[in-house]
Amino acid sequence: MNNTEQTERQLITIVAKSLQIPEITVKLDSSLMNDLGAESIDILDIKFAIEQQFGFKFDNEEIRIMLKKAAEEFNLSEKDIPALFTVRRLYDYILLKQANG
Amino acid sequence: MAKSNKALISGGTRGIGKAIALELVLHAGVGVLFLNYVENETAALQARDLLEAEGCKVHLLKYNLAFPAEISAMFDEINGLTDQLDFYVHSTALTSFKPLHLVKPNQWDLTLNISAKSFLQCAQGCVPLMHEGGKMLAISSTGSRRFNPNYGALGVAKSTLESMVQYLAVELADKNIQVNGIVAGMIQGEKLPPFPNIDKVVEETLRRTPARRLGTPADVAKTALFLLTQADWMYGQNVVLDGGYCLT
Ligand SMILES: NC(=O)c1ccc[n+]([C@@H]2O[C@H](COP(=O)([O-])OP(=O)(O)OC[C@H]3O[C@@H](n4cnc5c(N)ncnc54)[C@H](OP(=O)(O)O)[C@@H]3O)[C@@H](O)[C@H]2O)c1
Repeated sequence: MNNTEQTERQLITIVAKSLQIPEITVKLDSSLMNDLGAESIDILDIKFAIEQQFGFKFDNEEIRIMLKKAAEEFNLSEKDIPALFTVRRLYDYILLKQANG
Repeated sequence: MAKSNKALISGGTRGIGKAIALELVLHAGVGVLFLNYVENETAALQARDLLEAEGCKVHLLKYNLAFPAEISAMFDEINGLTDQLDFYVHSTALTSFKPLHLVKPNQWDLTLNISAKSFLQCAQGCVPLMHEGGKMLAISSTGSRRFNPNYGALGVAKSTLESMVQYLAVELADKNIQVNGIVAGMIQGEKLPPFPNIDKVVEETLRRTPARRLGTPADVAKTALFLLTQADWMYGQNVVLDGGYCLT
Protein backbone atom coordinates (compact mmCIF):
# COMPACT_ATOMS: atom_id res chain seq x y z
CA MET A 1 0.00 0.00 0.00
CA ASN A 2 1.47 3.37 -0.94
CA ASN A 3 1.34 6.45 1.29
CA THR A 4 -1.81 8.00 -0.14
CA GLU A 5 -3.67 4.68 0.01
CA GLN A 6 -2.58 4.30 3.60
CA THR A 7 -3.80 7.83 4.40
CA GLU A 8 -7.16 7.01 2.82
CA ARG A 9 -7.48 3.81 4.88
CA GLN A 10 -6.52 5.58 8.10
CA LEU A 11 -9.02 8.36 7.42
CA ILE A 12 -11.83 5.93 6.67
CA THR A 13 -11.06 4.07 9.89
CA ILE A 14 -11.23 7.34 11.86
CA VAL A 15 -14.56 8.37 10.30
CA ALA A 16 -16.14 4.94 10.74
CA LYS A 17 -14.96 4.65 14.34
CA SER A 18 -16.23 8.09 15.28
CA LEU A 19 -19.63 7.59 13.63
CA GLN A 20 -19.85 3.92 14.66
CA ILE A 21 -20.58 2.73 11.13
CA PRO A 22 -18.95 -0.02 9.08
CA GLU A 23 -15.85 1.14 7.19
CA ILE A 24 -17.36 -0.17 3.97
CA THR A 25 -20.08 2.49 4.11
CA VAL A 26 -17.53 5.32 4.17
CA LYS A 27 -16.65 6.47 0.64
CA LEU A 28 -14.41 9.37 -0.30
CA ASP A 29 -17.37 11.16 -1.84
CA SER A 30 -19.70 10.64 1.13
CA SER A 31 -20.87 13.88 2.69
CA LEU A 32 -20.07 13.64 6.38
CA MET A 33 -23.33 15.21 7.49
CA ASN A 34 -25.78 14.43 4.72
CA ASP A 35 -24.73 10.86 3.86
CA LEU A 36 -23.07 9.58 7.02
CA GLY A 37 -25.22 11.39 9.59
CA ALA A 38 -22.39 13.26 11.32
CA GLU A 39 -23.42 15.95 13.79
CA SER A 40 -21.28 18.98 14.45
CA ILE A 41 -19.67 17.41 17.54
CA ASP A 42 -18.78 14.37 15.39
CA ILE A 43 -17.00 16.62 12.89
CA LEU A 44 -14.93 17.96 15.79
CA ASP A 45 -14.30 14.42 17.02
CA ILE A 46 -13.08 13.43 13.54
CA LYS A 47 -10.90 16.55 13.29
CA PHE A 48 -9.37 15.86 16.70
CA ALA A 49 -8.68 12.22 15.77
CA ILE A 50 -7.05 13.29 12.48
CA GLU A 51 -4.84 15.76 14.36
CA GLN A 52 -3.71 13.03 16.75
CA GLN A 53 -3.10 10.47 13.98
CA PHE A 54 -1.38 12.73 11.48
CA GLY A 55 0.36 15.15 13.83
CA PHE A 56 -0.86 18.51 12.53
CA LYS A 57 -3.48 21.05 13.65
CA PHE A 58 -6.42 22.07 11.48
CA ASP A 59 -6.51 25.68 10.43
CA ASN A 60 -10.22 26.57 10.49
CA GLU A 61 -9.66 29.53 8.21
CA GLU A 62 -8.10 27.25 5.55
CA ILE A 63 -11.08 24.89 5.82
CA ARG A 64 -13.56 27.76 5.58
CA ILE A 65 -11.85 29.11 2.45
CA MET A 66 -11.70 25.61 0.93
CA LEU A 67 -15.45 25.09 1.44
CA LYS A 68 -16.31 28.60 0.25
CA LYS A 69 -14.30 28.08 -2.93
CA ALA A 70 -16.05 24.76 -3.50
CA ALA A 71 -19.46 26.40 -2.98
CA GLU A 72 -18.58 29.08 -5.55
CA GLU A 73 -17.30 26.48 -8.00
CA PHE A 74 -20.60 24.60 -7.86
CA ASN A 75 -22.66 27.78 -7.65
CA LEU A 76 -24.04 26.77 -4.26
CA SER A 77 -25.01 28.87 -1.28
CA GLU A 78 -23.66 28.74 2.30
CA LYS A 79 -26.49 26.45 3.38
CA ASP A 80 -25.24 23.77 0.98
CA ILE A 81 -21.84 23.68 2.67
CA PRO A 82 -22.62 20.55 4.73
CA ALA A 83 -23.15 18.66 1.46
CA LEU A 84 -19.73 19.79 0.29
CA PHE A 85 -17.99 18.63 3.44
CA THR A 86 -17.09 15.22 2.10
CA VAL A 87 -14.55 12.69 3.32
CA ARG A 88 -12.53 13.59 0.22
CA ARG A 89 -12.15 17.20 1.42
CA LEU A 90 -10.58 15.91 4.64
CA TYR A 91 -8.40 13.55 2.61
CA ASP A 92 -7.21 16.37 0.33
CA TYR A 93 -6.53 18.55 3.36
CA ILE A 94 -4.43 15.81 5.01
CA LEU A 95 -2.42 15.35 1.80
CA LEU A 96 -1.91 19.11 1.58
CA LYS A 97 -0.67 19.25 5.16
CA GLN A 98 1.60 16.25 4.57
CA ALA A 99 3.02 17.83 1.41
CA ASN A 100 3.71 21.08 3.28
CA GLY A 101 5.56 19.06 5.92
CA MET B 1 -1.70 46.69 42.97
CA ALA B 2 1.55 44.82 42.20
CA LYS B 3 0.92 42.25 39.50
CA SER B 4 2.92 39.37 40.95
CA ASN B 5 0.30 36.60 40.76
CA LYS B 6 0.13 33.95 38.07
CA ALA B 7 -2.99 32.20 36.81
CA LEU B 8 -3.86 29.37 34.46
CA ILE B 9 -7.32 29.58 32.89
CA SER B 10 -8.47 26.77 30.65
CA GLY B 11 -11.09 28.09 28.25
CA GLY B 12 -9.69 31.53 29.07
CA THR B 13 -9.78 32.98 25.58
CA ARG B 14 -13.55 33.34 25.25
CA GLY B 15 -16.75 34.01 27.14
CA ILE B 16 -16.74 33.44 30.88
CA GLY B 17 -13.09 32.36 31.05
CA LYS B 18 -11.97 35.56 29.33
CA ALA B 19 -14.10 37.70 31.67
CA ILE B 20 -12.51 35.96 34.67
CA ALA B 21 -9.07 36.54 33.19
CA LEU B 22 -9.77 40.26 32.92
CA GLU B 23 -11.15 40.45 36.45
CA LEU B 24 -8.04 38.75 37.83
CA VAL B 25 -5.72 41.08 35.96
CA LEU B 26 -7.63 44.17 37.10
CA HIS B 27 -8.36 43.18 40.69
CA ALA B 28 -6.27 40.18 41.83
CA GLY B 29 -2.74 41.27 40.99
CA VAL B 30 -2.36 38.78 38.15
CA GLY B 31 0.59 39.75 35.97
CA VAL B 32 1.14 36.47 34.14
CA LEU B 33 -1.69 34.52 32.53
CA PHE B 34 -1.63 31.13 30.87
CA LEU B 35 -4.70 30.83 28.67
CA ASN B 36 -5.60 27.46 27.20
CA TYR B 37 -7.79 27.06 24.11
CA VAL B 38 -8.15 24.51 21.32
CA GLU B 39 -8.83 26.02 17.92
CA ASN B 40 -10.21 29.56 17.79
CA GLU B 41 -7.03 31.46 16.97
CA THR B 42 -8.80 34.77 16.35
CA ALA B 43 -10.47 34.75 19.77
CA ALA B 44 -7.18 33.77 21.42
CA LEU B 45 -5.26 36.64 19.84
CA GLN B 46 -8.03 39.12 20.71
CA ALA B 47 -8.02 37.94 24.32
CA ARG B 48 -4.25 38.30 24.48
CA ASP B 49 -4.39 41.85 23.09
CA LEU B 50 -7.12 42.84 25.53
CA LEU B 51 -5.30 41.46 28.56
CA GLU B 52 -1.82 42.63 27.58
CA ALA B 53 -3.24 46.15 27.18
CA GLU B 54 -3.99 45.91 30.92
CA GLY B 55 -0.34 45.20 31.68
CA CYS B 56 -0.36 41.41 31.92
CA LYS B 57 1.95 38.96 30.15
CA VAL B 58 -0.23 36.39 28.35
CA HIS B 59 0.97 32.97 27.24
CA LEU B 60 -1.46 31.30 24.83
CA LEU B 61 -1.50 27.53 25.19
CA LYS B 62 -3.10 25.73 22.28
CA TYR B 63 -3.60 22.20 23.62
CA ASN B 64 -6.58 19.92 23.24
CA LEU B 65 -7.82 18.94 26.71
CA ALA B 66 -9.56 15.89 25.23
CA PHE B 67 -6.19 14.13 25.21
CA PRO B 68 -4.07 13.39 28.32
CA ALA B 69 -0.86 13.59 26.27
CA GLU B 70 -1.71 17.15 25.21
CA ILE B 71 -2.45 18.15 28.81
CA SER B 72 0.94 16.74 29.81
CA ALA B 73 2.60 18.70 26.99
CA MET B 74 0.78 21.84 28.16
CA PHE B 75 2.19 21.42 31.65
CA ASP B 76 5.67 20.80 30.23
CA GLU B 77 5.36 24.20 28.56
CA ILE B 78 4.00 25.87 31.72
CA ASN B 79 6.76 24.34 33.83
CA GLY B 80 9.32 25.75 31.40
CA LEU B 81 7.87 29.22 31.90
CA THR B 82 7.18 29.35 35.63
CA ASP B 83 7.85 27.49 38.85
CA GLN B 84 4.80 28.85 40.63
CA LEU B 85 1.05 29.33 40.10
CA ASP B 86 -1.52 31.07 42.31
CA PHE B 87 -4.81 30.42 40.52
CA TYR B 88 -6.26 27.76 38.26
CA VAL B 89 -9.70 28.24 36.69
CA HIS B 90 -11.35 25.51 34.63
CA SER B 91 -13.83 27.11 32.22
CA THR B 92 -13.59 24.55 29.42
CA ALA B 93 -16.63 22.69 28.14
CA LEU B 94 -17.81 21.06 24.96
CA THR B 95 -20.84 18.92 24.21
CA SER B 96 -23.58 18.03 21.81
CA PHE B 97 -26.89 19.48 22.97
CA LYS B 98 -29.37 16.63 22.53
CA PRO B 99 -31.46 14.28 24.66
CA LEU B 100 -29.28 12.05 26.82
CA HIS B 101 -30.86 8.87 25.50
CA LEU B 102 -29.66 9.79 21.99
CA VAL B 103 -26.05 10.64 22.89
CA LYS B 104 -23.56 8.42 21.03
CA PRO B 105 -20.48 6.93 22.71
CA ASN B 106 -17.98 9.24 20.99
CA GLN B 107 -20.10 12.28 21.91
CA TRP B 108 -20.28 11.12 25.52
CA ASP B 109 -16.51 10.57 25.69
CA LEU B 110 -15.70 13.98 24.22
CA THR B 111 -18.12 15.74 26.57
CA LEU B 112 -16.89 13.99 29.69
CA ASN B 113 -13.19 14.10 28.78
CA ILE B 114 -13.12 17.79 27.90
CA SER B 115 -15.62 19.17 30.37
CA ALA B 116 -14.81 17.07 33.44
CA LYS B 117 -11.91 14.62 33.24
CA SER B 118 -9.44 17.27 32.07
CA PHE B 119 -10.06 19.23 35.29
CA LEU B 120 -8.51 16.40 37.27
CA GLN B 121 -5.36 16.16 35.18
CA CYS B 122 -4.96 19.96 35.15
CA ALA B 123 -5.47 20.13 38.92
CA GLN B 124 -2.82 17.40 39.29
CA GLY B 125 -0.48 19.45 37.10
CA CYS B 126 -1.12 22.57 39.19
CA VAL B 127 -0.52 21.05 42.64
CA PRO B 128 3.31 21.09 42.46
CA LEU B 129 3.20 24.62 41.04
CA MET B 130 1.06 25.76 43.98
CA HIS B 131 3.80 24.94 46.51
CA GLU B 132 3.10 28.23 48.28
CA GLY B 133 -0.66 27.56 48.32
CA GLY B 134 -3.21 28.43 45.69
CA LYS B 135 -6.85 28.46 44.64
CA MET B 136 -8.68 26.40 42.07
CA LEU B 137 -12.10 27.12 40.62
CA ALA B 138 -14.30 25.01 38.35
CA ILE B 139 -17.11 26.54 36.32
CA SER B 140 -20.16 24.30 36.47
CA SER B 141 -23.78 24.95 35.56
CA THR B 142 -27.26 24.50 36.99
CA GLY B 143 -27.73 21.63 34.52
CA SER B 144 -25.79 19.48 36.99
CA ARG B 145 -28.75 19.50 39.38
CA ARG B 146 -31.83 20.59 37.39
CA PHE B 147 -33.25 19.02 34.26
CA ASN B 148 -32.49 21.15 31.21
CA PRO B 149 -33.71 19.83 27.85
CA ASN B 150 -30.86 18.57 25.64
CA TYR B 151 -28.31 19.05 28.42
CA GLY B 152 -27.95 15.48 29.76
CA ALA B 153 -24.37 14.71 28.75
CA LEU B 154 -23.02 18.04 29.94
CA GLY B 155 -25.21 17.85 33.05
CA VAL B 156 -23.50 14.60 34.02
CA ALA B 157 -20.08 16.09 33.25
CA LYS B 158 -20.88 19.07 35.48
CA SER B 159 -22.01 16.82 38.37
CA THR B 160 -18.70 14.99 38.02
CA LEU B 161 -16.86 18.30 38.07
CA GLU B 162 -18.68 19.42 41.22
CA SER B 163 -17.94 16.14 42.94
CA MET B 164 -14.25 16.50 42.07
CA VAL B 165 -14.32 20.00 43.58
CA GLN B 166 -15.49 18.53 46.89
CA TYR B 167 -12.96 15.69 46.96
CA LEU B 168 -10.02 17.83 45.89
CA ALA B 169 -10.96 20.54 48.40
CA VAL B 170 -10.57 18.09 51.28
CA GLU B 171 -7.49 16.35 49.87
CA LEU B 172 -5.61 19.55 49.04
CA ALA B 173 -6.53 21.58 52.13
CA ASP B 174 -3.31 20.55 53.91
CA LYS B 175 -1.33 21.96 51.00
CA ASN B 176 -3.06 25.30 51.48
CA ILE B 177 -4.86 24.88 48.17
CA GLN B 178 -8.57 25.81 48.18
CA VAL B 179 -10.91 24.37 45.58
CA ASN B 180 -14.38 25.72 44.87
CA GLY B 181 -16.86 25.87 42.01
CA ILE B 182 -19.44 28.20 40.52
CA VAL B 183 -22.73 26.70 39.37
CA ALA B 184 -23.83 29.24 36.79
CA GLY B 185 -27.27 29.68 35.28
CA MET B 186 -27.72 30.73 31.69
CA ILE B 187 -25.22 33.37 30.63
CA GLN B 188 -25.70 35.90 27.88
CA GLY B 189 -22.19 36.58 26.55
CA GLU B 190 -21.36 37.68 23.02
CA LYS B 191 -23.39 34.64 22.00
CA LEU B 192 -26.01 32.55 23.75
CA PRO B 193 -25.19 28.88 24.26
CA PRO B 194 -26.01 26.89 21.10
CA PHE B 195 -29.08 25.09 22.52
CA PRO B 196 -31.80 23.87 20.19
CA ASN B 197 -34.83 26.23 20.31
CA ILE B 198 -32.75 28.84 22.10
CA ASP B 199 -35.44 31.55 21.92
CA LYS B 200 -37.94 29.36 23.78
CA VAL B 201 -35.31 28.28 26.29
CA VAL B 202 -34.41 31.90 27.03
CA GLU B 203 -38.09 32.82 27.40
CA GLU B 204 -38.72 29.96 29.82
CA THR B 205 -35.51 30.69 31.76
CA LEU B 206 -36.43 34.36 32.15
CA ARG B 207 -39.95 33.44 33.24
CA ARG B 208 -38.50 31.32 36.03
CA THR B 209 -35.66 33.64 37.04
CA PRO B 210 -36.52 35.97 39.94
CA ALA B 211 -33.75 38.38 38.82
CA ARG B 212 -35.64 38.71 35.50
CA ARG B 213 -32.47 38.69 33.47
CA LEU B 214 -29.87 36.23 32.28
CA GLY B 215 -26.38 36.33 33.80
CA THR B 216 -23.38 37.89 32.12
CA PRO B 217 -19.76 36.75 31.98
CA ALA B 218 -19.01 39.74 34.25
CA ASP B 219 -21.46 38.40 36.88
CA VAL B 220 -19.53 35.12 36.94
CA ALA B 221 -16.18 36.93 36.95
CA LYS B 222 -17.12 38.99 40.03
CA THR B 223 -18.07 35.85 41.97
CA ALA B 224 -14.90 34.15 40.73
CA LEU B 225 -12.86 37.05 42.06
CA PHE B 226 -14.54 36.72 45.45
CA LEU B 227 -13.93 32.97 45.60
CA LEU B 228 -10.32 33.31 44.49
CA THR B 229 -9.29 36.25 46.66
CA GLN B 230 -11.68 36.72 49.57
CA ALA B 231 -13.40 33.47 50.48
CA ASP B 232 -10.69 32.29 52.85
CA TRP B 233 -12.86 29.89 54.84
CA MET B 234 -14.76 28.43 51.93
CA TYR B 235 -13.74 24.89 50.99
CA GLY B 236 -15.27 22.60 48.36
CA GLN B 237 -18.39 24.69 47.76
CA ASN B 238 -20.18 24.79 44.45
CA VAL B 239 -21.80 28.20 44.65
CA VAL B 240 -25.05 28.65 42.75
CA LEU B 241 -25.14 31.87 40.74
CA ASP B 242 -28.31 31.92 38.70
CA GLY B 243 -30.52 34.93 39.50
CA GLY B 244 -32.59 32.62 41.69
CA TYR B 245 -33.56 30.21 38.87
CA CYS B 246 -32.93 27.03 40.90
CA LEU B 247 -35.32 28.19 43.62
CA THR B 248 -38.38 28.30 41.42
N1 LIG C 1 -22.64 30.11 28.50
C1 LIG C 1 -23.47 29.74 29.45
O1 LIG C 1 -24.68 30.03 29.43
C2 LIG C 1 -22.95 28.94 30.62
C3 LIG C 1 -23.80 28.72 31.71
C4 LIG C 1 -23.33 27.99 32.79
C5 LIG C 1 -22.04 27.46 32.78
N2 LIG C 1 -21.27 27.68 31.69
C6 LIG C 1 -19.93 27.08 31.71
O2 LIG C 1 -18.94 28.10 31.69
C7 LIG C 1 -17.80 27.66 30.98
C8 LIG C 1 -17.49 28.65 29.88
O3 LIG C 1 -18.62 28.76 29.05
P1 LIG C 1 -18.64 29.79 27.82
O4 LIG C 1 -20.01 29.77 27.25
O5 LIG C 1 -18.01 31.06 28.25
O6 LIG C 1 -17.64 29.00 26.84
P2 LIG C 1 -17.20 29.29 25.35
O7 LIG C 1 -17.37 30.73 25.02
O8 LIG C 1 -17.85 28.24 24.51
O9 LIG C 1 -15.62 28.96 25.46
C9 LIG C 1 -15.19 27.67 25.66
C10 LIG C 1 -13.69 27.69 25.84
O10 LIG C 1 -13.22 26.35 26.01
C11 LIG C 1 -12.22 26.08 25.04
N3 LIG C 1 -12.26 24.66 24.67
C12 LIG C 1 -13.31 23.94 24.18
N4 LIG C 1 -12.93 22.68 23.92
C13 LIG C 1 -11.62 22.59 24.28
C14 LIG C 1 -10.64 21.55 24.24
N5 LIG C 1 -10.94 20.34 23.76
N6 LIG C 1 -9.39 21.82 24.68
C15 LIG C 1 -9.06 23.05 25.14
N7 LIG C 1 -9.93 24.09 25.18
C16 LIG C 1 -11.18 23.85 24.76
C17 LIG C 1 -12.56 26.99 23.88
O11 LIG C 1 -11.45 27.13 23.02
P3 LIG C 1 -11.67 27.64 21.47
O12 LIG C 1 -12.00 29.10 21.60
O13 LIG C 1 -10.35 27.40 20.84
O14 LIG C 1 -12.79 26.83 20.90
C18 LIG C 1 -12.96 28.25 24.63
O15 LIG C 1 -11.81 28.96 25.06
C19 LIG C 1 -18.13 26.26 30.48
O16 LIG C 1 -17.63 25.33 31.40
C20 LIG C 1 -19.64 26.25 30.46
O17 LIG C 1 -20.18 24.95 30.59
C21 LIG C 1 -21.68 28.41 30.62
